[in-house]
Amino acid sequence: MNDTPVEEEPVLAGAPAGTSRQAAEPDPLVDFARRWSRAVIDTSYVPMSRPELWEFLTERVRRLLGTLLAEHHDGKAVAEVGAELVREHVVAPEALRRTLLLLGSELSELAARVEPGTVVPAGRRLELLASLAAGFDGAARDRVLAEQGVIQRAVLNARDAAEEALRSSEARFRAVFTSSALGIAVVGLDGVLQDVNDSMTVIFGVARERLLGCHMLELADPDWVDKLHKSDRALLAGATERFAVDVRYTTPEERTVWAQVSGALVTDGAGEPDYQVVLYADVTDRYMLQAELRRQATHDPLTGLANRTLLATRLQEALRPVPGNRRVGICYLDLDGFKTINDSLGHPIGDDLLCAVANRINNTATGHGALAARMGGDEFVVLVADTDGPTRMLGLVEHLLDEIGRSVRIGGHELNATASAGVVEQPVAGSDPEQLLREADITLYRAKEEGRAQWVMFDSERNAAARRRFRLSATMPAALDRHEFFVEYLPVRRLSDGRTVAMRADVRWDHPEYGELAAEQFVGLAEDTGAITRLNDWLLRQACAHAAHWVRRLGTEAPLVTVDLSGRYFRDPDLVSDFREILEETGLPAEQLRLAVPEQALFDEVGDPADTVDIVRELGAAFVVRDFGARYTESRRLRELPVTSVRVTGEYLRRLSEGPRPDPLDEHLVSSVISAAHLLDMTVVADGVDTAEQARRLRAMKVHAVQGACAGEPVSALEVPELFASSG
Amino acid sequence: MTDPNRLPADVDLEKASAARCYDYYLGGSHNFEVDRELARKVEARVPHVKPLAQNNRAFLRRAVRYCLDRGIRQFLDLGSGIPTVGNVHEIAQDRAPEARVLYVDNEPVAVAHSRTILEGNERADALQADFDSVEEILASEQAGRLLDLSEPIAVMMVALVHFVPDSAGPHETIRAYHERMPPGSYLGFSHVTHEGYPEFTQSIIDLYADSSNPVVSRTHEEVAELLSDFELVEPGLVYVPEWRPDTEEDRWEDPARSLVYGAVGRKV
Repeated sequence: MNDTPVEEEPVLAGAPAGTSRQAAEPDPLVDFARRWSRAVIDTSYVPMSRPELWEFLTERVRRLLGTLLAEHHDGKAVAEVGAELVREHVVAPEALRRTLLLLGSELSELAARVEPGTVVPAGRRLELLASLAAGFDGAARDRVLAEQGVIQRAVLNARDAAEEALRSSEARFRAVFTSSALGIAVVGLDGVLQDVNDSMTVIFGVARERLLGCHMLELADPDWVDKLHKSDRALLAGATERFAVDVRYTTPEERTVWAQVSGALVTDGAGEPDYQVVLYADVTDRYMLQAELRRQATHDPLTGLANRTLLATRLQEALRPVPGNRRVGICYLDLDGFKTINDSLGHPIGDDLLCAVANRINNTATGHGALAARMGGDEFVVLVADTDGPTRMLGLVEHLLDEIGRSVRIGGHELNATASAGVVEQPVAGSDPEQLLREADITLYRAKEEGRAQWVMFDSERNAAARRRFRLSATMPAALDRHEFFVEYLPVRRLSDGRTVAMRADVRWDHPEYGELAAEQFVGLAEDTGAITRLNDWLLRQACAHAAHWVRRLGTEAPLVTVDLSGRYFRDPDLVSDFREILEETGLPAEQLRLAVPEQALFDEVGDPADTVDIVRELGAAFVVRDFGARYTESRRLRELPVTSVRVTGEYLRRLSEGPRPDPLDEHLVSSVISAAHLLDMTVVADGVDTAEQARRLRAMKVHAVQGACAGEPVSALEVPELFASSG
Repeated sequence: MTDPNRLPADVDLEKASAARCYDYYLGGSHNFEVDRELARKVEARVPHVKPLAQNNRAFLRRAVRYCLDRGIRQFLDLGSGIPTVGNVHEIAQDRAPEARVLYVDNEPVAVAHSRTILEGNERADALQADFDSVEEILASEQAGRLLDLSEPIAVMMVALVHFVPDSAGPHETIRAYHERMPPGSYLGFSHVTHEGYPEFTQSIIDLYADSSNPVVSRTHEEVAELLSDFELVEPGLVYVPEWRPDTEEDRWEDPARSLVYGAVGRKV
């Protein structure tokens, strides 16, 4: 044993204070106790220091000696010493063996040293050893049993605690499991659903029994299986602690369910993967909303067709440069006369018609692998991202026009819509999206012009003129802002005395690209696009301001001013207030103003004088009928109106001056018009009179005044007063 | 143990426990056949394992008494194991009945055992927690009741940290305790080494590898580094029989055979 502690008799430099009553004289009892200590100290852990053990054993040696020296053997007292050793945790069998050896061989000798002359009978010595061993063994046995009992109880308690913890943890989990709005599944490491809560059955619309035993992947829609599988594999491999992916499902009733699926691995006590808990949050509403928002951003709300945004994206994609000779096709469609339908039958019917047409366009386009988009109003575009030449493209276009042309029944109306189409079909290389759409739009415009319900194929040369018109109409509003328009005045000369009695305002456009443009080059265009309202408003304002200036300069000598207004502008309900405001602002006396309008503009739809006429009359201005004689038979209705004169123009006027004598028919026509005007008490002004001979003949026919080259060159507003100063 | 993804650890009696083997070496009977089987295997390879364990236990006694002598009246015994014979509260309360002790172990049987032993002792309790759950331990109800961190405390890590691998960051954990200990506190520390008798230590490492508590041996330098935040009291970090023996007789002829370094550090 004891190979480690120092073996030789300890030489104490001094016993630790208070731990030994040992004096300088070596006490044989203490000495014995030290040797006993050394014999047992390493057999088991004795929870005291060596000096404390010495003290403890010294006391026991004393008691054993006392028993030994007594008259009779006291077995109980000796056994108690044995038990006390065990109580101080001198418990090893080896300790008992060494104790018995030590006591058996040396206790008698110690007794003799303590009580000289004492002889201990061998029987007494044996009795003492036997009692000591019995006391030790009994106590040791009790101690072992007690300790085993304690450790067993500890195990049971620990198990109870663990089970309790497990139970409460399970109870907590169960409570969450059953009451959660989340779908919760306990899934084996093999992916099979082992347990599911009620929310799972609600989310998936499947009974619990049908979910149990399912594989978690088999529930997902095919396109989402890979994503889910990948996430779950990473979880099982320990690469991630948890995953969360959005997965789409389809219930047996074909309902689409979007679930945010998150999974976590549950490990057992040893840290090994045990099973997975997979949560399913139903995010269908959120998904549907997002999808709807996405759809709304790229689709027209009325017809459900792609909108401009989506078309632009697709067009961009279609025009992405690729090797090879890919071609692209665009068909720009516009319903013919849609405005009439809208105006006459009302917007709801118009909208229904648009939807019906959109639906047909979409079906046809989709059938050809093309994209149909609504550009706004009644304009649609069909994009063919990959054409193989004009023939197939035009096949689609004709198919589209046929489909649109089929009659459609809406709210009791049998409607026959037609559409015109501008078609562009060209190689992808060198095309840009904006240009492509513009070309299709211009081509559509031409299709409209050339008659309706037909397509026109884009042709770059023929389109130059159309493009110019397109450019003009597109730039007109900006040109007004940039003051590119200006007014010139054409003198109107009275034939009786040769005096200039009026100045006719003539609008012109100083176009930065096309140079100076005459009214006939853009006024018609302005009428088509609606820009005429602003243009006429501007012209009226300018002319009145100029004329007011003349009145201030020339007084009663100032000429009248004639302003040509378009019919559309004249019937604009805003004109009344505009008109008043313009006169007030410029300070022009109304009687100085003559509004030259087409005859038709003076009447409303049922043929009564337009409201504007009364206002003009009230203010004191008067009208010039520009196209007098066009509706001869209805001319009498002008009788009651403030029309002072009529203007005549045309080829037959020019022919009056040709040849030695005028053509009798021309002469008759002119004379008839003039007579009619005179019967209506109106003077006649002839336009486009260039020669003195013409003027002479017209004078003979009682034409009141003329304008044109023979009446004088056009002048600017500032030049007008000079003109009168020089002539006066 | 607070990881919500882990179910409460079951009581595993299939595997030997270091705490119950230790009890066996000390002569206790708080152990099972599986523990004794391992202990006997160890004894076959390291014949003096019992004196070795007893020596370590004696170091605990001397360290606790050292702290008591310096006025410490509260003890946090980490990795206390089976509070078999000669445990901290007995040592402390024998000298100072008002002394308070909190035992901490991560092994459910050890904790249940401690609670059984401590029934009726209002100044001592046991808590199940991991060594590195510093905040959890110090914020526990038991710590609140027994420990006062405004007063110096003795933290015991006797024969504990050689069960903590480097990957678990033992130095950081020790530092975390250091931070929470008021100045004037002490750390009692012992740790297995292979420097003196590598074959003995290796036997222990091998045999414990499959137990619930695998062993990591460290060098003197490594152990000293673990304690670097503390000021070590005399005689510093030494083999445990050399650490303030009660008598000259308690010194070992070859202290290295104890296989265990011990030290008491003071927080300045």
